[in-house]
Amino acid sequence: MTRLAATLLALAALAALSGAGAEAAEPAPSAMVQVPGGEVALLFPVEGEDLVTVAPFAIDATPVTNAQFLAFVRAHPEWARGAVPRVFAGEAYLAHWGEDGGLGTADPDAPVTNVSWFAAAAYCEARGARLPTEAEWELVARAGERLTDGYLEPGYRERVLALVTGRAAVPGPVGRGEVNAYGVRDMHGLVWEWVFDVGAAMNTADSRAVGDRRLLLLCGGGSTGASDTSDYAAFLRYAFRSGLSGDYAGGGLGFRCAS
Amino acid sequence: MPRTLRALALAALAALAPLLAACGEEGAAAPAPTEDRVLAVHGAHAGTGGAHAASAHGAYAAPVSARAEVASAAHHAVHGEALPAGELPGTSLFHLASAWTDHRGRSFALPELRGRPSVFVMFYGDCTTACPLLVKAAQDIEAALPEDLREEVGFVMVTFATEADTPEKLRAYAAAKGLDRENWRWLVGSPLQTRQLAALLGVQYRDLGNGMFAHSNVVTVLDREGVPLARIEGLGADPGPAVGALLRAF
Repeated sequence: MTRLAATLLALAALAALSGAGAEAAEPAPSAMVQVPGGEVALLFPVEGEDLVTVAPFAIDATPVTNAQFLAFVRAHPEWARGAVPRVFAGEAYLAHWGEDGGLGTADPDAPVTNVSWFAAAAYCEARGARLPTEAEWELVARAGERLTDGYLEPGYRERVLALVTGRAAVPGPVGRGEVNAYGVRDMHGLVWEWVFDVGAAMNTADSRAVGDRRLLLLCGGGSTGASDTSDYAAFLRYAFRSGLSGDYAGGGLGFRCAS
Repeated sequence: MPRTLRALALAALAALAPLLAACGEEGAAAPAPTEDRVLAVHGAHAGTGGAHAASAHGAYAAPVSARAEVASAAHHAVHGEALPAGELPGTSLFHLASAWTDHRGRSFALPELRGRPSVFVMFYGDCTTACPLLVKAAQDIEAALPEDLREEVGFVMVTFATEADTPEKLRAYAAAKGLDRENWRWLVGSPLQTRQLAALLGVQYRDLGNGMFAHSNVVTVLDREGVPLARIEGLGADPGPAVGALLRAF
């Protein structure tokens, strides 16, 4: 059984190699990193949800790049700028690419940005993967340089906040930034990232509440329910995510896949 | 807390100003399908040279190119003929074309609703407080319509509980409320399409992992082409705006 699996893997690797030879410059998807799972405290827990248990999963070691997303768009032209329905992607969708539908002056190795949640989810689905859930993403983001629980590592909060606030206006190539204890790169220093459960941000368990919770979350009062008010970088992430709608596409927002 | 850390955080918060600016300005942070947004989209059509014209039934505003198609769809719906497969408006939710399973185990895709206005609610079966009120809100909307139009509106009730709410369970739920009817569709889909629909409707929800879901309470009215006409958030809301939107859609 193991030998059969190994043979199949070798065959698959050979096929991938010969495929790459036949058509140059087709970027492979990002390598994935296995994460054993664990428990994560969401910054704004719903009542009775102090710790979310996360099952083992795999996550891309780096964010999805312009080149990788271009290969997806070429294979799925319904996701090209100009073809995608407005309801799935706003005006800024892939606005940094060339007029001809190619990358233009965009760095092929930089994380793709100006992608809506719908487009990001479709990319991952086409790869047989999915977007990471908010809890999965936060579990990985919480890792320090050497410990999977960064809170136990001196300087973690300051380092992450410096990475987030020190981002370049136009992100550089993936894979050259910080690497955490799981071996996952660029969780903080390049871009914000979509998660699967967009619109899961809720700071009240009272589903009978009237009104728009997103405003509560963003506007001061919401922070009183936060589980760790000293983690400003996490506060920024949650604040940013809570204001997003699925069709939003923006310059500082990319994604990676999980499975 | 170190001062420098706080200063950095404030600087970063300033970078989020466009989002934060929405505080106290209702709806601005949530470009979900609200009536305002729909109107804004139509306004943009006018601005780009498409003259508005009323459809055969009144208030549906669309560019001239789409108008004929809409009027034609209405005509076909009335006469029970096959609908034309014209291009959907960009803001139509019917672009979400993947198949769901309904309470009778049938496959159902949103584009099948083309030609008739619809009312969308997201709920789940084991929810005992908010959801019965959401279902009641949809019933109230139907009851407030003129009798000859009630069957013409599609009521689409979509569960958050993609595992627990099997078609059988949905059918029992619908039957218990006297709503196992032809124009009521109780749908269950994959986690992805459920999240996709929620994103389109501006519905927030979170799986609490114990069979319960935290969720916002939203009733959305779509026109014949799947474009949101009205969005009512909160329980016990006046059905008036939804009924008004439906009447305009006919």
